[in-house]
Amino acid sequence: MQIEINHLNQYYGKKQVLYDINLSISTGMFGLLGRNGAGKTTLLKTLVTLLPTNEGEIRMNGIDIHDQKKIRSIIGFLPQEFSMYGNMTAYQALDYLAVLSELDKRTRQTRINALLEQVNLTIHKNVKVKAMSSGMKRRLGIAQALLNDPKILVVDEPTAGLDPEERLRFRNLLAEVSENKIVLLSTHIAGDIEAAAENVAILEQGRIIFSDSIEQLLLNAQGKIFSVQVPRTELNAAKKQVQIISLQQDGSTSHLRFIGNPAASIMRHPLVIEERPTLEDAYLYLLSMKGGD
Amino acid sequence: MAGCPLHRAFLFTQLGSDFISLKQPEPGKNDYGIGRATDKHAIQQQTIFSLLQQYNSKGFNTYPFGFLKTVTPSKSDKATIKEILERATGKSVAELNQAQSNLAIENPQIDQFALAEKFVLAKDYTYPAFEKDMRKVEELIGKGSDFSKNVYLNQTRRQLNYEEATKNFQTTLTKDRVSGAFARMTCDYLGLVLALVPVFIAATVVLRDKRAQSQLVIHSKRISSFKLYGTRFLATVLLVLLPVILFSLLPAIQSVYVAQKYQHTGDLLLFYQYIIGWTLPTIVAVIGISFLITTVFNGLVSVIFQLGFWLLSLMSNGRNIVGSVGFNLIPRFNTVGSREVFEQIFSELVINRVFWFALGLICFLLSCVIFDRKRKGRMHYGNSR
Amino acid sequence: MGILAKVSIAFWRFHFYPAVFTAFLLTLLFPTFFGVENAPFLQSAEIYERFFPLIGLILFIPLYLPDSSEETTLLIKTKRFSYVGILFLRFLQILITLLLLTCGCLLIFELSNATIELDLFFFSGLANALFMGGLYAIGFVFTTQPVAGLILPLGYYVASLFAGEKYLKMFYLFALGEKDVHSKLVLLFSGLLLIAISFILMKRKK
Repeated sequence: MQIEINHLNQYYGKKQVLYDINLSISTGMFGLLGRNGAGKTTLLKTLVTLLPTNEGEIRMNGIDIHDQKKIRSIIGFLPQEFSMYGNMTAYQALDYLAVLSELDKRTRQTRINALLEQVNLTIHKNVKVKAMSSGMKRRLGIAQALLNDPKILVVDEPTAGLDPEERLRFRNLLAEVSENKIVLLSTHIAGDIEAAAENVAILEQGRIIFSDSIEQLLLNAQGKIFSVQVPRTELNAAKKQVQIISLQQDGSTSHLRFIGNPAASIMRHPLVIEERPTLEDAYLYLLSMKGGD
Repeated sequence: MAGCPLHRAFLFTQLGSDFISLKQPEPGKNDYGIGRATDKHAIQQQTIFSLLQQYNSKGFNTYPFGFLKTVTPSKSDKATIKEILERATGKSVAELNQAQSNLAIENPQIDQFALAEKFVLAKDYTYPAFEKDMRKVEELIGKGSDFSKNVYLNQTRRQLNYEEATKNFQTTLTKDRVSGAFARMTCDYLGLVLALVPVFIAATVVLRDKRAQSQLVIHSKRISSFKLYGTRFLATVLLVLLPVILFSLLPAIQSVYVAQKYQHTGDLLLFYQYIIGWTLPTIVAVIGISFLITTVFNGLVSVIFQLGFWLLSLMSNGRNIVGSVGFNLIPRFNTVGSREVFEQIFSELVINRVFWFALGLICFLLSCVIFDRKRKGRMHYGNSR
Repeated sequence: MGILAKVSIAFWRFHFYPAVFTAFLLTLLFPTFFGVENAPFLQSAEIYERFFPLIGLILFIPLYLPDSSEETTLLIKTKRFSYVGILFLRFLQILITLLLLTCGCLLIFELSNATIELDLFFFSGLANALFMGGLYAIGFVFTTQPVAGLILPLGYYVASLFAGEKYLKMFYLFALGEKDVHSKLVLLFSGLLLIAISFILMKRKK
C-alpha cells in the first residue's frame, strides 16, 4: 500500500499554496506536521478528492487521483470540523454515511455496531448529533471514517479540543487502527504522532521542509536541546537569548527547556543540561532552523 | 355581467405604469376625471342601479379577500332582493329592464355612468330606508359585496367638472403644497414594499451569530442582551430607513419642481414628515416581529410568516386603494391629491401608525427577553429548563 | 436500488417532510378560503396563480436545506455515492410531490365546480413552481443560506405583482389567465436550467 505524490502544486485562484510536494507514504501511521496555515488541510483535501489537482501526480494504492469513485472507495476522511445533520442519532448518522459509502445492508449493520463498540459510543447510539459533546462527535467522526474499511485513513487535527483523557484514548484508537492501513495524520500537536508514527513530513508555508523517519528528525536535533533552572527574575533575560520550548514554574524557580544557541551566555550557566530531544523539540528545532521565529 | 365598471378597481395596481404627476386642468375638456360622490341621492342611485344589474346577472359579486367570489342567492333571497328593487324604484323589475334597454337603443354609445345617472328612484325612497335595505342585502349575500356600507360610500362616483377639478388642483397646490400629495402616493408604494422586504434583513441579522458560530463567544461577553439586540435592531431599522429616504428624494424634488411650475413652493420638510411618519412604523413592526419569530424559531419561519402576513394585508384592503386604513399594516393611498379623503382618515391613520410602531417595539422587547433566557441557558431547544 | 431508496428516505425523514406537510395544508386551505366555488375561468386562474407558486416554492426549500452546513456537505462529498446523485434524488422527490400536490389542488378546484382547463392549469402550476424553485436554487448557491435564497423568487413574485407583464414579458408569472402557453414553456425550461446550473455550481463548491 502506497501513496505517491509527485510534483504537486496547488493554487487558490492565483495564490499558490502548495509548492512542489513530493511524498511517498507506506503502511502505518504517517505524520504531517506543520503550523496552522502551512497548507496541511489543502494537501489533505486534495488527497480525499475535495480539491482538484492543479499540477502534479497523485496515486493512491496505484489508483490515479482522478479516478474519484475508486479513490473514495479506499479512503476514509475525518475532517477537522466534523459535523452531521443535527437531528440524526449516532446510529442514523453512521447508517446514512454507510449508505453513501455504498455498503450493503448486512455489512452496514454489523460494521456500524462494531465501530460504535470500538469508539465507545454503543450506549450513546441513540443520542442526536446536536446533543453530543465534542469528544463524542470526534469519536463518531472516526467511526464514520472507518465504515468502508478504508485502506487509507486521512485524519485532520484529530485531538484539537479534546480533554487529556479523550486525547489519550483517541491516540490509542488510531494506533490500533493503523495496523494494516495507511493513516495519514495531520496535526500541529507533536504528541499526536509521537507514539505510533514512524515517518513524518513537515510542511512550512506550502513546502515540505522535512520528510523522513522520526528517528532521523530526532537525530538532527541531538545535542541541540537543553534545560536549565534559573530564578524567576532572570527569566526575561533568558527569553531574549534563546528560544524557549517549555517552561515550568516551581516557586521562585523557573525550569526552562530551550533550543541551544552557541552565542548565548546562558549556555555557560552552571546548571545547563543537554537533553534528549522529544519529537516536539525536534520539530521546533527544525522550524527555528528554517528561519521561523 | 361579471363586474360593474363603476366599481372596477384592480386588486394589485400596476406600479410601473403610474407616474406621480400633477397637471393643471384645462378648460373645455370632456373628461376631468372621476371623484367620489357624497351626494346621498347619487349614492342611492348608483347602488340600486348596481343591485339591479347584479340581480339580472348570474350572481352577486363579493370580494371577501379582494378576490372576486360570486355568490348565488337562494330563490327566497332573490325574491327579497327583487322586492327591495321594486320598492326603491316604484317599478317592477321587468319595467326597469325595459327602460334600460330603451335607453341603450336610443343611444348605443351610452356608458354605465350615464345609465346610472338616468336611473330613477321612487320619490319617497328615503336614505334611511336605503341604508336598511342595504344591510338586508349584505346579510343575504355576505360581506365584501358592493352593498356593504363602507363599499357603497366609497365607491360611488361622479364625473368632475372643470370647476371641481380646478378646485382639487388648487387644494393640492395650496394645502398640500404639492409635496404632501406626492408624499402620500410615495408612501403608498413604499408601504407595499416595506411590509415584506425588511424581514430578510432582520432574519439574517438575528441569525448571524449562529452561522459564524460566534454565539458562545459573544453571548458570554458583558454586554446585556438588551444592548446587544438593541444595537442590532437599531442598525437594521436604519439600514432600511436610509435607502427609503434616498429613494424618496426623487419624488420629493419632483414635487418642489412641480410646485414651482405653478408658482407655489413645495415643502421638503412636509414631504419627509409624511415619509418618516408613514413608513417608519411599518419598518419597526416588520423588523420587530421578525426579530421575535427568528429568535423563537428560525429565519425561515419568519420569512414565510411575513410573506403570508403581507399577502393577507394586501388582500384585506380589498379594492379600495385610496384611503383604506383600519388596522392594516399597509395603509393605502394610491392617488395624488384627494386631500378631503386624507383629512377624513387622518385620525384613523395616526392610530394605525402608532399601533404598528408600538407592536413592533413590543415584539422586539419580547425577543430580547427570550434571547436573554436562551443565552442564560434557561431555554433548551425551545423548552424552558 | 436499495441505496437510492435509503438516501431518499433519509431526505424525507430529516429534511423534507415538514415542507410537504406545510404545502399540503396550504393546498387544502387556500381554495376554500378564497372562494373558488363556481368560479369562472379568470377567477380560478387568478386565485390558482397567486398562491400555488408560493406553495411550490415551499416544496423546493428543502432541496438545499441539508447543505446549509458546509462541513457536513464537504464530508458527504468524500463518500463514494455521488453528491450530484443525492441532489438529483432530492429533486426527484420534490418533483413527484409537486406533481401529486398539483393534481390534488386541481381536484379540489374541480370538486368546487370551478371553471378550469385541467391540462393548462396542470402545466402552468408545474412551470411556475419550477421557475420559483430554480430562482431559489441559484440564490442559495451564492449565499449558502435558505433565507437569502428566498429573496430571488419572492422578489420575482413581487415584481410580477406590481410591475406586471409590461416589464417581465415572457417571464411574467401570472400569464395563465391569458392562456399563454409560450410563457409557461419559457418558465418551465428556465426553471429546469437554473436548477441544473445550481447542481453544477454546488458540486464545484470548495
